[in-house]
Amino acid sequence: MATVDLVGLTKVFGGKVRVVDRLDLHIEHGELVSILGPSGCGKTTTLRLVAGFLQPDEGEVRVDGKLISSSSFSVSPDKRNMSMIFQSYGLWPHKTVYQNVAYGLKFRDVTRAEADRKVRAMLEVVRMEGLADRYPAELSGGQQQRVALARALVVEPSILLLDEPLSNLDANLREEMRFEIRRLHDKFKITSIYVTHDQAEAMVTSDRTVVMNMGKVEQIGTPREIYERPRTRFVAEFVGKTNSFRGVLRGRDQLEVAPGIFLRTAGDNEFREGQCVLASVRPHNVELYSEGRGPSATTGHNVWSGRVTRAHYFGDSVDYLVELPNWPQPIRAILPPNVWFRTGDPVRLVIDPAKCVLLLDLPED
Amino acid sequence: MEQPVSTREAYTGGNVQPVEGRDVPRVVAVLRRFEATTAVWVFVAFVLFVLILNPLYHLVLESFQLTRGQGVEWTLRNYIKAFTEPLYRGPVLWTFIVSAAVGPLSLMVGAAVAWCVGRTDMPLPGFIRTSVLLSFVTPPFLGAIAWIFLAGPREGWLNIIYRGITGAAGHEYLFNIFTMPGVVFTMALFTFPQVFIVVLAALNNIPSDVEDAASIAGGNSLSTMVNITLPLVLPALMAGLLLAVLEAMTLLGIPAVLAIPARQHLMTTQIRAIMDEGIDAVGLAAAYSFPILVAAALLVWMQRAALGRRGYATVGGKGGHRRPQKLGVWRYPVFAMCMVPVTCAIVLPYFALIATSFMKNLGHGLTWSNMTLENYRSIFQSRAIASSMVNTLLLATMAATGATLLASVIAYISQRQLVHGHRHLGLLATLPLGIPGIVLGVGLFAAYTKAPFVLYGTLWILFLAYVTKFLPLAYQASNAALMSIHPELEESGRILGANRLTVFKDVTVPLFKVGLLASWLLVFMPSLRELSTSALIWTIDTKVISVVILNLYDEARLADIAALGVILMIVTLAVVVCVFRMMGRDFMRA
Repeated sequence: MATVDLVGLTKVFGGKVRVVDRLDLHIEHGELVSILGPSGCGKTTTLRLVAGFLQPDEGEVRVDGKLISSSSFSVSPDKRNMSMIFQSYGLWPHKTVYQNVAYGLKFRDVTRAEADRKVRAMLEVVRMEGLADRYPAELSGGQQQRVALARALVVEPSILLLDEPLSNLDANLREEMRFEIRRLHDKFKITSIYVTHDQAEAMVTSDRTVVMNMGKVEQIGTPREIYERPRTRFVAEFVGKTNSFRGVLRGRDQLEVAPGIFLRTAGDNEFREGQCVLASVRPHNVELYSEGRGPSATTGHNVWSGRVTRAHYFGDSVDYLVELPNWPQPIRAILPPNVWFRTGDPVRLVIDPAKCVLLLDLPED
Repeated sequence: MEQPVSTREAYTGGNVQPVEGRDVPRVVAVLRRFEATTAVWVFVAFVLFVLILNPLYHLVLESFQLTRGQGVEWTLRNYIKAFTEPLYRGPVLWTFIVSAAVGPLSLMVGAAVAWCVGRTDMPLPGFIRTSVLLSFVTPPFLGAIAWIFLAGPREGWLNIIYRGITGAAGHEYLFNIFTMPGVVFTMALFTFPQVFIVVLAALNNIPSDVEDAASIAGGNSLSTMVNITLPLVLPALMAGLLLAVLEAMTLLGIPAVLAIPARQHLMTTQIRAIMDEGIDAVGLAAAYSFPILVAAALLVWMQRAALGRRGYATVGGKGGHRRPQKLGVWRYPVFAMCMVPVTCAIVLPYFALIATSFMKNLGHGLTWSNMTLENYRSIFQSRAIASSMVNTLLLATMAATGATLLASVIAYISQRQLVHGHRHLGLLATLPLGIPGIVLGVGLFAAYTKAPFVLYGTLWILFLAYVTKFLPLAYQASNAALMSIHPELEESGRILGANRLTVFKDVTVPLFKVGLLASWLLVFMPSLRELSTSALIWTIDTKVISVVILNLYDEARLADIAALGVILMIVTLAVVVCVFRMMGRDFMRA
C-alpha cells in the first residue's frame, strides 16, 4: 500500500521534445488510476519514470511522500518494491510458468517453503495452477497474460504498474481480461497505474482516469466524469464519440450555432455571454422520433425536425446521421435497434439540454 | 506531498534498501552509478582502438618513412616508387580489369540463381541453396587448385577428355585456367554466393501480395517484374555487385595460385612479393596498399548506402506468403541452368580434390592401380604440417572466443545504450569490413615487428589479425541475437528486484547463448582458412594450414594439397554440423 505523487514531472527527449510536460498527479492508497491517451502522448514514458527505468529532467516522483526520482537522484528499479506488467508480458522463454512466477521471491525475505506456497496460491488465483510446468511458448496469449499478472502480484508490491497489458490480445479475450484485472485489484487493493489507449479498458478497470495529450494532462476524473463532463474538446472526442458544435454563448445557456439557430445547453458558470465556446453532445444522448411523436419544445428540450441521411445497422445499435435545415453540420445519433428509420425518413430530433456540455473553444493545432 | 521532505532523502520503506545516504555528495553518487559500465566501456574502446587503429596508424606512418642506416627518413619516395615504376603499374591495371569483370559476372549468376530458388517452382530449390552456401564455405585458394586439376592445360581432366574425344595432339587444350579469364572465372565461382545470399534475402522479404497487386492492376509477369520486383531488389543487387567487386579486388589466394603462373601479378600478390623482399620494403608495401584500402572503404560505404534505409527490415510486409512463378515446361531447363554454377563451384572441384587426394600420379587418371593412401600418410607424418594444424585449430578457437566476447560486450553496450557514444563503438566494430586482409597484414607487420610490442613470430599477431578481421561478423551476429531479446525481458527482472548484473546472468546470458554460438561459429570457420593476412605475418613456427597449402603449391606438391584440403573441409563441416546440432537442441529446450 502506498500513495504516489508526481510533482511537475517532466521528461525531455533529444533535448527538445517534452514527452512528459509538468505532470502533476496524486494517487491514493489502493487506488487504480488509468492514464489514457493516443500513442505518443507520453503515457508510457510517465509509467517508466515511475518505475525508475527513466530519470525525470524536472520534477519528482514520491511514494508515501518520500522522494524516489528527481533530476539528480533516482532509486534503481529493483529497489522500489514495484511490479510491472509489460506490453509484451516480458515472460522469460527459458523459464517455466512456475519459475517465472517464483523469480521475484528470490529477492524477498521468504523461505523456500513459503515461496512455494505463495507461488502455488497465486497460480490458483489466476487459474493457472495446472500449467505450472509449461514454458511460456506453450501457452495462449491470455494464459501468458495471467502468468504475467501472477508474477507481478506474488511479490506483494506496494505499487503495480501496467503498460498497455491487453494490447496484444484479441478482442474477446481483451474484454474478459479487463474484468479479470479489476477483479484482482478488488482482491488485493494494490495502488496501481494502468496505461492504455483504449477508453473501454480505462472505463472498466479504473477508479480515476487521467487523459493525456502531447505530454500534458487534459483532464483527471472518474470515468463517469470524463465521459459525461469532458473539460476539453480533445477529451470529448478521444473518449467516446461526440457531436461538437461551435457557437457564441447567448444568455447563460443558449448557444447560437448558426445565425438565428440556438442550442439550449446545460450552461456553465465558467463561460460568459458572448464568448465563443463548444458544445459536446454524445450520439447516445440524441433521441429520434417519428413526426408527431416525442416530447414537444415546451418541455424545455431542444427539438428540431430533420431528415435521415445515413443509417447503419450494428446489431446492438443503429448509427444515424440526421440533417437539420440551416444547421452547419449533420448530427450523429446512436439508438437502440427497436426503432428503425430509413435513409430519407423525416424525423424529430430531441436533445436534453443537460446532456449538452460546454467546452472551451481552443484553436485547432 | 504535504510534509516537507529533503530531496536527498532516500526511499527506505518496506523491504527496500537505501541506495544513497543524505550526506553522499552528488559526484560520488553519479560515479557510483556509472562506475562499472563506464569502466567496461573504456576498456572495450581501448581494445578496439589498439586492434583496429594501431595497424592503420603504423601503415600510414611506414608509408612515409625510409630506413637509413640507424635513422629514419621522412619521405614521399615510397609513393613515388609505387605509382611510377611500370613494374607496379601493371598489377593496378589488372586488378581493376579483373574486379570490373568479376563483379557483373557474379551479379548475373548470383541474382539469376537467387531468383530461380526464391521465386520459381523450379525443382529442388533447397538443394541448390545448400550447394551454393557450401561453395561459400570452400576456401577460394582450394577451389583454384581444384580447378588446376580440372582445367590445367596439360593434365587437366577436362582437357584430357577433350583430347580423348577429338584426338587432338598432347600439347593442345580446350581450357587453360592459368590465364586472366581463368582467374576471373574462378573468382566469380567463389564470389557469386555473396550476391546470391543478399539477393535471396531481399527477394524473400517481398511479399507476393505486392506483386499480386501489380498483376491485378493489369500488369503482365514481365512488367510486374520490371516495375515492382526489380526496384525492390535493386539495392540488394547493387550491394551484391559491390561485395563481389570488393572480394575480387582483395583476394590473394586465387591470383597467387593462378595469375602468377600466367606471369601477371595482381595488387594483392604484388604486395606479398614486395613484403618478401624484407623488412625495409614495408614502407613501399604500405604505400602500395593505399589504393586498395581506399577503394575497399569506398565500396563498403557504398554498399551500406545502397542497402541503407531500404534495407531488409523495411522491405518486408508480412514476409510469409509467396506464390512462386510458374515455369511450366521450362522447370527442368531452368534447374539445369542453376546446376551449371553449382557443378563448377562444388561438384567438379570437390570431385577433383577428393579423387586427386587418393592418386599416385596425377597424369594417370582414375584407375585402381593409380590409387593410394600415401598422400594422407605423408601429411600426417610431416611434423611441420601437423604443427600447422594444431596452430590453425588453436588460433581459430582463440579468435572465435576472443571476437565473440568482445563483440557481444560491444553489442550489449550499444543496443542497451548504456553509455554516451555507444554508436561509435558499434561503428568501430564494423570498421574492419573496409580493411582488406592483405592491407591488415601489412599494417600488423608494421605495428608489431618493432619495440615495444614485438609480436611478430608469435601466434599472438595472428590472433590479433583474426580477431580484428572477423570482429564485424561476430558483432553482426551478436547484435542480431541481442535484438531478438526484448528489453522488457530484462526490465521485468529489474522491477521484480534483481540488479543489472543478476538480470544479465539470469535472463540475458541464457537467452543470448544461441546467438553467441552462432557468432563463435561465424569467426571459427573463416579463421580455419584465413590466407590473405596470414600470408604476410607467418613465420616458420607459426604456420597455419592455408599458408602450408600455398607453400606446398610453390613446391608443386599438388596431391598433398588435395589431401590436406580434404581434411580441412572435413574439419570445417564437422564443426558446422556439431554446432548446428547443439543449437538445435538448445532451441528445443527454450
